[in-house]
This record gives sequence, C-alpha cells and structure tokens, in this order.
Amino acid sequence: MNLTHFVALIQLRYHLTCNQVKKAGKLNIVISILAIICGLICSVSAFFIGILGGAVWFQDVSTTTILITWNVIVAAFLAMWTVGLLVELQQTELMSIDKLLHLPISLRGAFFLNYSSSFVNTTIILFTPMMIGLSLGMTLARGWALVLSIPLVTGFLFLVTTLTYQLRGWLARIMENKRTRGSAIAIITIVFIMLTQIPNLINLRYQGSRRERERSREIQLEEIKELGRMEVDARILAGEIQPEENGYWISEIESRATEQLAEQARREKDERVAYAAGVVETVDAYLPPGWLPLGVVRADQGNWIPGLLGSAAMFAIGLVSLNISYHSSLRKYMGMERRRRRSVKTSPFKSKLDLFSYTRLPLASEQVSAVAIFSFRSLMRAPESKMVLIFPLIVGMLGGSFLIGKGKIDVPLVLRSWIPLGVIAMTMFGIAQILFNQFGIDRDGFRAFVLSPINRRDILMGKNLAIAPLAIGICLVMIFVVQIFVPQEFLSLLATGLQVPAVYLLYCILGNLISIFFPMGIKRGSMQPANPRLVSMLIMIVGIMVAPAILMIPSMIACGIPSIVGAATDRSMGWLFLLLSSVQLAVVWGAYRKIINQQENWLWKRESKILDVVANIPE
Amino acid sequence: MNPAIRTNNLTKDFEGFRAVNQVNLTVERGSLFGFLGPNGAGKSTTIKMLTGILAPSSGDIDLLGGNPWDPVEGIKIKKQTGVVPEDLALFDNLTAREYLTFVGRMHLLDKTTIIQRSEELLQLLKLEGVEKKLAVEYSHGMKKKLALAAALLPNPDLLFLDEPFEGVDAVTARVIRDLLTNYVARGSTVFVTSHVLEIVERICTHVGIIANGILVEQSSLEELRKGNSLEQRFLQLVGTVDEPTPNLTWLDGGRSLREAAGVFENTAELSGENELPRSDAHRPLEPPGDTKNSIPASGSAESTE
Repeated sequence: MNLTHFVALIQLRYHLTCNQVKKAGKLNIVISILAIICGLICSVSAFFIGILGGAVWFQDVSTTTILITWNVIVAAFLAMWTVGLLVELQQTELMSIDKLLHLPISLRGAFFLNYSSSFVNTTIILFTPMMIGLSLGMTLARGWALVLSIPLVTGFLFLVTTLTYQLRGWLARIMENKRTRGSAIAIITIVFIMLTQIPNLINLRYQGSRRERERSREIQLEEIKELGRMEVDARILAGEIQPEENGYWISEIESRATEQLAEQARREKDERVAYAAGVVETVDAYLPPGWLPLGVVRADQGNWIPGLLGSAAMFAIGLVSLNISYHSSLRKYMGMERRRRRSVKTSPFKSKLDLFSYTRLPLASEQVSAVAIFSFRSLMRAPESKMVLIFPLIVGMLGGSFLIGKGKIDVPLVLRSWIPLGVIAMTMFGIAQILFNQFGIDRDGFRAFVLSPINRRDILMGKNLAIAPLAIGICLVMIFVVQIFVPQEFLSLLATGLQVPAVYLLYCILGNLISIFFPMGIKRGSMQPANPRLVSMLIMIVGIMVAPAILMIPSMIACGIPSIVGAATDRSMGWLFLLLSSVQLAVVWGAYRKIINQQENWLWKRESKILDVVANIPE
Repeated sequence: MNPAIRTNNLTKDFEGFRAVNQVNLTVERGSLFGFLGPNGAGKSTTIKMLTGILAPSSGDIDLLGGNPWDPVEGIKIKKQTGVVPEDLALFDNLTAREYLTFVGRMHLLDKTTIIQRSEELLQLLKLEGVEKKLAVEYSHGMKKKLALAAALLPNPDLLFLDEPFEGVDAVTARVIRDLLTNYVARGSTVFVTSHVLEIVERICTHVGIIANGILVEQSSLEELRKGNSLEQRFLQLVGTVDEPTPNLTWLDGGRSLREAAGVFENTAELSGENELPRSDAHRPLEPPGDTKNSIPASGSAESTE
C-alpha cells in the first residue's frame, strides 16, 4: 500500500460520508456542518482549557486531587468510548476490510488503514486535545516531571484503540451469523448498562451511609447541647456564673460543640478520601487504563519509574493486541480459521413451536391471529426490538434499586395509585418506539402484507396484538413490583390492572396513525433509521415525548377524582377508581374499534408508500 | 372469457422520469407469458403495478376481471394470485416453515393443507434441510425458492414471477421450469420476467417486450420469432442488433501474456508477504521488443531475469 492508495481510500471515505449526509436532506447537511464546526471548536477549546486548567487550578492541589481528576477523565473517556462502540456495532461498517481486499493492496495495508480509521472518533477528537492540554498545563504548573503524562496519555490511547480493535474483530466474527448478531448486541448493551449502574448503586449506598452519619451527628450535637445546658444550670445553682450569663454560656457551648463536630466530620472525610484514594490506587495498579493516573501521580511525587513502566507496558499490550488482531484477520482472509460448524438438524414438522403457529387467539379472526402470532415471533427474534425492550429494563433496574435502597415507602393511601400509573406511562414510553413504527421492522416482510388477501384492519389489529404481550406484560410485572413496596388496596390494584389495556389501546390508535403516515425504514440489527426523513423523525420524537402527557389524561382523570374525593372524605375510594377505569376501558375500546375502520382505509391507500420507505433497506 | 391480465395505457412516472409509458398489455388465461426487456426497461415496475405493490400514475388494470387497486376487488384478486416480487416478501426473522404457515393462514387454508403443501414444496425446492434457519440467514437463491414456494402454496390462478431463475441453481431452475409448464397445462396463467432468453424461449407460450417503458411487442412466441431465434428478435426490437459491440480502447492482443507474467510475479509476492494478486492494468505497456517480464516460450512461469 502506498500514498496513492491511502489518498484514494481517504477520498472514498469522504465521498461515502458526503453522500450519506446528502441523502438525508438539506437540513441534515446544515446540521452536519454545524456539528463539525462545533466539534472542532470544542476540540480546540478543550486543548486550551486543558492547558489553562492544568496551569492554574492544579498548581497547589494535593496528589489525591490529581489522582481523582485523571481517574475521572479516564472513566469518562472509557464510558463515551463504549457508547460509541455500541453505536458502531449496530451499524454497518462504512469501509470494512472485505471491501478493500479485491483491490491491489496488501492485507497488512488494508488492516492498518482500517485500524487507523478508528481514530476518527468523537471521543478521541474531544478527549485527546484536553488530555494533552492538561498534561502540558500541569507540567508548567508542577514541574517537568509531569511531562511523563504525555507518553502515558498516548500509551493509554494506543492501548484503548488496539484492544477495542481486537474486540471489534472478535465481535464481528460472532456477528457474522445474522441470527446471533442481534443477541450479541443486546447482551453487550445489557452488560454495559449493568456496569454503568454500579456507580449508581455505590452512590445509593453512600447516600444511605451519609444520611446515617448526618443523623448520628445531629443526635450527638443535641446530646452535647443538653449536657452543656445541664452544666450551665449546675454552675448557676453553684453560683459560679450569674443567671443573666446563661444565654451567653449556652451559645458558647453550642458553638464549641458545633466546631468540634465539624472538625470531627472533616477528619472523617479526610480519612474516607484517603481510604478511597488507596482503593483507587490499588485498582489503578491492577487495571491497565489506571496506569495513566497512577503514573502521573507517582511522577508528581518524584518517582518516574511507574510512569515509564506504565506507558511502556501500555504500548506493549497494544502492540500484542494489534498483532493478535492482524494474525486473526490474516487467518480469516486466508481461510485458515478454525470454525465450528453449526449442524442444522432436520426435525419432524410436528413440534411445539409449530402448534403455536396454528393457534387461533380468542376473539380474533384466523387472519388477525396469524398476523399477531408471526409478527410477535418476528419481533421477539429481531435484535432491534430487543434493544428497545431494554429500556423498560433500565427503568425497572433504576426504580428497583431506588426502592430497595429506600425500603417500604410511606405514601398516603389515596395517592398510591399514582405510582403504578407512572409505571404504565414509563413502560409505554419505552414501547412507543416499536408501536409508532410498526411496519419499520418488517422491512421486505411488509410486502407480504401488501400482497396478502386480508382486510387492512386485520393487519393493524394483528400488529397491535403482537406488541400487546410485551407492553402489557412488562406493565403488569412492574405494577406487581411496585405493589410489594407501595401496596395499594385490592380494588385500586384491579383498577390499575384495567388501566393497562386502556392506555395501551390509546397508544395503539396513535401508533397506527404514525405508522401509516410517517413510517421509517429501520436498519437490520438496530433501531437506527435507514433513510432518515426529517418530518418522520420529528413526528416520531414528538409523538414519543408528548404521548404520555396526552394519552394519560383519561387515566389521570380516572385516578384523580377518587384521590380528591378520598382526600376530602378521608375514605378509600378504590371502588370509584375501579368504576371509572371500567368506563374508561369501555369507551377507549369503542373508540379503538371505530377509529381502526378509518385507519384501514388509510393503510390501503398508503401501503405502497409505506413499502417504499420500509422495504429494500441495504445491509 | 376475460383475459387474465389487461392493462389500458398503464403509466408510471417517477420524479422527472417515465418508467412505464402507456402500456396496453393483454395476457390470455392459460398462457405462460414471458415479459422481456433490457435492464431498466420497466419490467419490474409493471409487475409491481399489476400486483398492487406500486400505484400507477395513470391507466387501468384489469386482473382476473377486477381492479387490483380497489379495496374490495383487490383482496379477492390477491386471493387468486401468487407473487414472487423482485425484492421478495420475506420476514427476516421467520423460518421457511413459519413463513409458509403464515402465508397459508393468510389465504385461510386449513392446517392439514398447509402442512401437506409446505412439505411438498420444501422437498421439491430442496429447502427441507434448512427449515430451522431464519430467512435472514438464507442465500439469495434460497430466498428466491422460499418466495416461490410461498407464491405456489395457495394454488393461485395467476402467478407473477419477477426473475424467478435469478440466483437459482440449474437443478432447481429445471424443477421450476417443469412446474410452471404443468401449472399452465392445467389452465392457470403465469406472468414471468426473465433475462435468460433461452428459458423464456423454452417455456413461454407468449412474449411481451418492453424497452424504455414502451411495450414494443406482444404476441405468441412463434409469431414473434418468425423463424429467427428469440435473442435475434429481442435485439432487433430493443434496437441494438446492428450496433457493433464497442471495444475497450486499451485492449490489445499483446497484453495478455504480460498480464499473465504480472500475475505470476505477484503470486510469488503473495506467498512471501501475503500480498493479494495485483493487476497490471495501471502499469504502462512496454515496447513489443522488451521481454523482461514476459513468459518464456517454453511456458515456464519463472522470470527471465
């Protein structure tokens, strides 16, 4: 590979990016240009802020502050880097090695070009100037020893990019199988979410112990004040002080006690910080990304060796990783890769799954049942829907950790029904991405609906039924969890149960409308729009954001009236909530049946336009 | 009896471009109609309009006596038609059996019929071994076969097949060919587009040729050929038969040997440095007398250097 190849490939990448931006419309071009300008400004600013910050703020700080600062930077870098990696995994690579290998360039050239393209990354563009700037600033402020932070930063970047490249190669091999691709993305995302929740859980625990400490300090203060008052009383009785000096002495004792406790709190805080710094240093010593902050701190303390060893070790690990990646790519493209062949077993037709294929759902026609069952099955296997279903999981985890941290919550009985309503709204918010673009995930499959000899109303009802188990199921599970921590009376619980289908039907009415008039093609394996159209995207975003406020109004009325009456009469109004929820469900069901007949006509008229948008999505 | 397909001034305009221009097509029942045309002539656009996938800009369509774009008649017509569209109509995340079951249920076939027909179709099209794979994992040829199976499953009166032989192996192509012939023999109608003129010549009873969106010919195969081969007639009708095949300006007789030498040379590089075979096309051609990189007359692959 020579310079001509390199320039040609850079040009290719430039044209690919430009065409992608142009395809999305003029507004997108403007937004992209603005984003590039903002990115460049941020990048340059980050460099100067880094220098200024390092030179001014870090002049007189302790080594612990330096340690924590660099660890925060490293953690932020890795978090943003991982998010970028997750996004990248979901989209098709602009320029993979496969697309270069038929050209007259060596595999080594293609490999290094592909690796170097991983440097064109938002995280690198934003963080690198800032880290270099901070290193320079700290060098100016604290002495030449800290110049070592520059090789440490470059070593860190090399380590992260090479290990990521190796990981990407490994994941790419896993994702070659389109069936496992989606599951892999979903698992990686869940693992990432779990990891990001660790600081949250630590924080919840820390907040709990902080509250305990504050409480114990308040008790201690009260005790000291009480003892002080008793002592002053005793001294007055003994005639040591005059009664008119009572106020002066009491305030004196109180202020001394407050100072004493504040001093104790400071000491405890310093001890905790020192302990945390010790833990962070230990973790840094064992985890390679931590060698950057540790090396900087040791250099600041006058010891160059850990920093030198750290940067050398990071470069060494990076080189080994790059070497492994290169040889595994070589094995793959030379056909020397050992591969486990998955045997495809032929099985008799009569299996349990096939029985499910012929199930007719209660109260639904044969065709509605077929659309519902096969759409549900398709949805459950689609990685993109798995990604969307993670959202309620996140909310559940956050809510769960909050509730577990708090224990049982003391909410007045008349207000308890509002919490499950919030849970329903949040779950529907999460599901809306699928519900508001019901044909997007079908892609070429939507053509099967267009060619099918069935009423378009049956397609809509079948689609709504396919998503119902997910939406209603998640709602019911989360209501059950809330019931454990914030129990409501039985009638209110029943009413909440009725609220779930009532809200879901309203979401279906809106979801059908948006799906028919503003469809969006979705890339395989992600929820990213394939050919983003501004109006459709805006409608989708506004729809998702505004829907909870509008579609929850009937539920808020059904729940609000019993709450107000209950608060006024000081009596439980569960029966009223149940009655209003039953009426609400009946009215919504009637409206749904009426509106879906009109939506059928719209779908018939627009199905070829929908097909034009959702089908023929490139790999 | 009404023809199976009749169009009147069928037209499709895209932005600033007329893909199909006032096409008047008549396909009699019981015929195997081959719809031919060069790339981009408007074959697939026409088939999309006929099957209700793409709305026509103007003109009328009569399919089995009804209008496929009418909400009531359209559904009746869809019950009697099977379609293999250009970009297929498969769900990525369903297996072959599941997809066939879905199509069968859409056509309100009973369970026994669906099972029996699915079994036969999967065996006939050699798909029974990959029944557990999702459609997204299939090769293009396998997807085509599955789409064909789905089109045949409801036993329709009218079949639309857009390039059914594209990407399909020779054995399956023969199976499809025989199947279509038998299908027409029992009175059904098949409308097929294909680039493979030999197959069209062998199986079709009637042929229509479209070029630049205009239907330039439609008649029975015998009438169309007039003693010539279908290829000759096709080239005459699309207006390219008299044009000489243009040649590339840089192709000359002496190049092949030098190129072969270049490939050998680079193969040696490949074994040493993992370089891929390199084309010589970017190198300037050397004067005829220079034999530095040419293969010796004996045919040895070694360089004379």
